[in-house]
Amino acid sequence: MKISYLSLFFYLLLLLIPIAILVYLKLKIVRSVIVSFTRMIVQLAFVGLYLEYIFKLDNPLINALWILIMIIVANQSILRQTGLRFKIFFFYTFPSHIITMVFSFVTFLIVLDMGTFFSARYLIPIGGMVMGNMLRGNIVSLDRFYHSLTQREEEYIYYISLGASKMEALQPFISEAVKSALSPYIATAATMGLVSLPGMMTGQILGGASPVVAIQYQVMILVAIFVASSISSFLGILFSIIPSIDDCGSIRRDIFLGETTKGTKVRR
Amino acid sequence: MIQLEHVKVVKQDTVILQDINLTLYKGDKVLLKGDSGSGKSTLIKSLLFFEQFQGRLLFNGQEITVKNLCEYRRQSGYIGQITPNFNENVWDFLSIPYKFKSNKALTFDFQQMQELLEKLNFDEAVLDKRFSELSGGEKQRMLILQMLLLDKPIYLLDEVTSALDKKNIQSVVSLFTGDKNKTILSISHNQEWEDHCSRVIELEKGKIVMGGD
Repeated sequence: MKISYLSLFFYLLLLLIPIAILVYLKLKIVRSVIVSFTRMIVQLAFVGLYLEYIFKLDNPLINALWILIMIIVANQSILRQTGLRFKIFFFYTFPSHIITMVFSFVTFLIVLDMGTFFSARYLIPIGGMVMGNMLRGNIVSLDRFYHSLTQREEEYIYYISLGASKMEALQPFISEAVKSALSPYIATAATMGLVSLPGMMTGQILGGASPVVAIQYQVMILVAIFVASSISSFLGILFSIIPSIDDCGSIRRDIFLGETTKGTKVRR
Repeated sequence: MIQLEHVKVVKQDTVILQDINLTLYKGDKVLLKGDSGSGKSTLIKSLLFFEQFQGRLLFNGQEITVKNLCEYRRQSGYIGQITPNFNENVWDFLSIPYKFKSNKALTFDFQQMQELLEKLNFDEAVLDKRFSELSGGEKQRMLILQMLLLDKPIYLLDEVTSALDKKNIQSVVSLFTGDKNKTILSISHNQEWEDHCSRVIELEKGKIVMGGD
């Protein structure tokens, strides 16, 4: 069944209820709710238009370019959300996403045939889902890693002082960060089908696919998301360490936006 | 011998340490005093080059650079106010350093551990307890024991007796100050340290007001 724009507009008016609740609770996030939902509508409208064209063109080069743009935007968004400085991290976290996505795409070929998967209709939505989750996992892991490292720096220095190498001293912090990034997926996977029907499956069923096909895709995508999030949250941290922590284990003081330190680094 | 020359630390446009000149001679037992926020912990971290600063840090007359920093850090044992998340038992906790690559040549000195357990008022049964189930004071003493087993020439201590009772404070202070070859710099508010240290340095608003060079 097609949804008319008018009915969708009326449906959007339902947002007035949460806004009323927020106003009543004196939560000053009404503005960001309005901004976020407006952005969502505008962005999706644009994506809808682009996708129409991209699907029609279905050119491998344009598809690849589109994916590349998605990765750049994801990388930027990860750094912005974690408050990490672009200038230091951008070119180090970027390859971790590229490696993850290339690995994801290649391994999709175990299930899907090449012609199907690399057509825009498959590649872009599936790539987008994997990337969206990779982004979430990366935000959690990088945020957790750098915040616990700076908050519990004494503990880190203690390990170095015990004789640990940089990586040995960082290991407990990396483990914690990766664990916190992956825990939600493990919990979601365990309750899938019982508590919630995932978006992709719902979409396919609403779109007319048989539940069995929808389930097959869902299993594939969940595995892909979990694998991609694990690889990328781990690699993201590993690559980000290169510019932020030197060989002797000193942590750069200006990794977070808004922090400045006047001083010399260790002389070479 | 460790020297800080004209050390200045600025964080977020706030001067934390200013014109610090300090020499720690071999065997020195130094107490570092000062109100909270006076820059004591920053000073200790600067001594390990974990703070970026203007000025120079020298070890045995040589300026610390990337080439000798790792080696220099290996000589110093730092204990801060920390409670590591560790879920295994105490025995496993004590063996952590021996798993590090740079410590491969070290062997766990069981006899010394027994002596230290006794000096730090522990019963041997503590080894089978989970580290996370120890009290704050017990954890603090266990960190000290773990570090002392590594027998470093320099110890930099940040409030290591803050959670201890009088008897244990005495034990810890005499363990650190008793060996005339060890260089000790300790931040503490306990009188016991003042009684046993050979020098007292006082910091006020990032400046040394007593006991500097």
